Amino acid sequence: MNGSHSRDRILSRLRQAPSAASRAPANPLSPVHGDPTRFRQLARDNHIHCEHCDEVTQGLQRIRQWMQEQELPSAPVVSGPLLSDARAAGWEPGPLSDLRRPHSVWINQSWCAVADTGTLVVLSRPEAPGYANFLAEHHWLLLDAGRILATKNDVWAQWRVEHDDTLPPAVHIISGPSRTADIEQTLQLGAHGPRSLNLMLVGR
Amino acid sequence: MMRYQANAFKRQANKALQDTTLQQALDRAQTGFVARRAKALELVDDFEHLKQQARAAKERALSEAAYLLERFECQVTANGGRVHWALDGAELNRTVIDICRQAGGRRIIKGKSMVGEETGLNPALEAAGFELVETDLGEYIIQLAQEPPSHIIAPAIHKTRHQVADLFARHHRQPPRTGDSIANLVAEARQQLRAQFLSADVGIIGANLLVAETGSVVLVTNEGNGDLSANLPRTRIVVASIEKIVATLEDANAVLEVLGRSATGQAMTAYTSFYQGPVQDDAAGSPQSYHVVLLDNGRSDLLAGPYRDILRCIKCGACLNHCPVYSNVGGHAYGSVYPGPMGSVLEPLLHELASTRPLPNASSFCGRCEEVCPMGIPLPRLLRQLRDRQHEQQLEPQGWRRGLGIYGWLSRHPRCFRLTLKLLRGALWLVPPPFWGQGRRPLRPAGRGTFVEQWHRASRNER
Ligand code: SF4
Repeated sequence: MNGSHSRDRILSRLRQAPSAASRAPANPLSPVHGDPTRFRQLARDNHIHCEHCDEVTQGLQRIRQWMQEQELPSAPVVSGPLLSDARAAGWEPGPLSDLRRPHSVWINQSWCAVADTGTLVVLSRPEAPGYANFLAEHHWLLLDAGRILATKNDVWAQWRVEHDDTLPPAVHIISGPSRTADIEQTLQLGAHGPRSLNLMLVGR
Repeated sequence: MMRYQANAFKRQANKALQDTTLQQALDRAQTGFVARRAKALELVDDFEHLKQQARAAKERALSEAAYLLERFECQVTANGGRVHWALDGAELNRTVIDICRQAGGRRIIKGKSMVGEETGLNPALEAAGFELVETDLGEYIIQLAQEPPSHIIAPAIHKTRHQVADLFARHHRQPPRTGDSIANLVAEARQQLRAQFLSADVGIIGANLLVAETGSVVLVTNEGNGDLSANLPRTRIVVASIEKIVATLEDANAVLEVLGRSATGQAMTAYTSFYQGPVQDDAAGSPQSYHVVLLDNGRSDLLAGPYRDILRCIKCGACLNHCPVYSNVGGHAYGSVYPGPMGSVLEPLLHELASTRPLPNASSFCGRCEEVCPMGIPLPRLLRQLRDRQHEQQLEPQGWRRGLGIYGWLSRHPRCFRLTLKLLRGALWLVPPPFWGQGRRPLRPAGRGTFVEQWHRASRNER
């Protein structure tokens, strides 16, 4: 049997069912901002470590200090747009392939956040491919404090305001470090992805 | 493929009831899931409203399924992927094998997929000469144990840590662990699977939802294994059944609002990814090859019929966790891919009614499943419809049909009914307890007279 034959048969069977479609509600037009205090509270409940800084370079310096406190090797991998800031902070970040090593640290930008669920939204881009967010052992995300939205639907509304309808190859909605409860229902952080997820809120 | 043994439900259930290790695991699992869901619902102002929105989103999608699937296909193609269609499980397996062969790779990593279980994808790939590793921790454990999953979201729920430790000790070539703590076991699996992620040629994942307007495949996980499987290999294959389609990103959100809360008691799982197209990676050069294989396997026939409601199922597992039958016998007793109430409806529809005879009857009709189902699926009604169909097709055992016939006659003849009750009541006193079977309490008639007599007496006294 060939694929197009199957395609036609499946679609024609589906078309035989009565269709009483109620139209999807129109997409909301303008995104609504969320409550930062609620966002931080829920992010902490999701096991996200939260810090705050006034500007990006200062945030990167604080991350550097955190890495020393954790006794992690000194070269993190930094996503494209943050590279120049990282260099300004006195770092020479490693290549993406360093993420395969134990104790790797990935520093990336969060596109926006959702207050309702304490969630961060990360876009996959050619210079910061999605896998980096899952391969690193420790994950830091920098978020512009003005980009905390109210709900998940506001994320799509915000996208439509800033871009056209075409989304990037992947959008990752991240609500904490990797975890599993597959053995005896006991929660363990760091199943396959990052053992820690850390947020640096930048600005007010 | 797992051996299909739904007709042996009774025997398997009896065995499960006497398995003390399994009973411990089930107790723990049930209390965990039920308590976490209850807590998550407490934190929501109006869960009923969320349920209605999720249900409406799915109904919209089912009402224009053909149009939305075509739109999804169009968008995936525009984004650099390819959509394949499979009428049945065999065609899905063949398609996946062809893609893997074209990719020229041998090593496959796989995220959890119930569709893959349904079609027997793993054994088909292994028979075709591919090396396949399941990467979801639960799936990995049962792959080592060579067992089918026993729960749709927690496949190794029936295993204790000691059983997992034994499995790891047998399969992992590494120095003995210090202690069987769960943290140690998770760390060991992480280390083993890391190497697999980094060397695989093909990644196969399932999908929780498909979004027509953007061609997105939505993947909901906690471990991150699905995303590593989707992103690291040079070929990505998504296997999904056609009812996963929704119209818009907002409709996908409506379903996500109820999915995590009903499944694991999380407002959002750790990772929810929307995949539109293949990975674009500056470091890798050539783009990833990206395929979505859509499975029908009888679902399109259900759309116009009396079982359409089951197509709204989002495989959250809440009906399993709250089912008194599932919580006592576990998933393997069902002898089918999908266990519990949703499985007892879906399995007879995907297979012959005759090969799944006990499933629609594996329910006390307590109604808990319908109560907790976030998609408002009337599971007890669907089970009753299946029982009716079984009766019409004369599929019940002879003894049962005869018994029903006698009961039917007696209930139309009240005097004989009462007399029979009296006789049976007397007979109950004569049966010695050992005849009541192992593990069951001897039932003793309570009070003076039959139930009907006691009822009349009580009503007279009230007056
Ligand atoms: S039938 Fe309802 S409760 Fe059961 S798995 Fe499906 S959606 Fe969840």
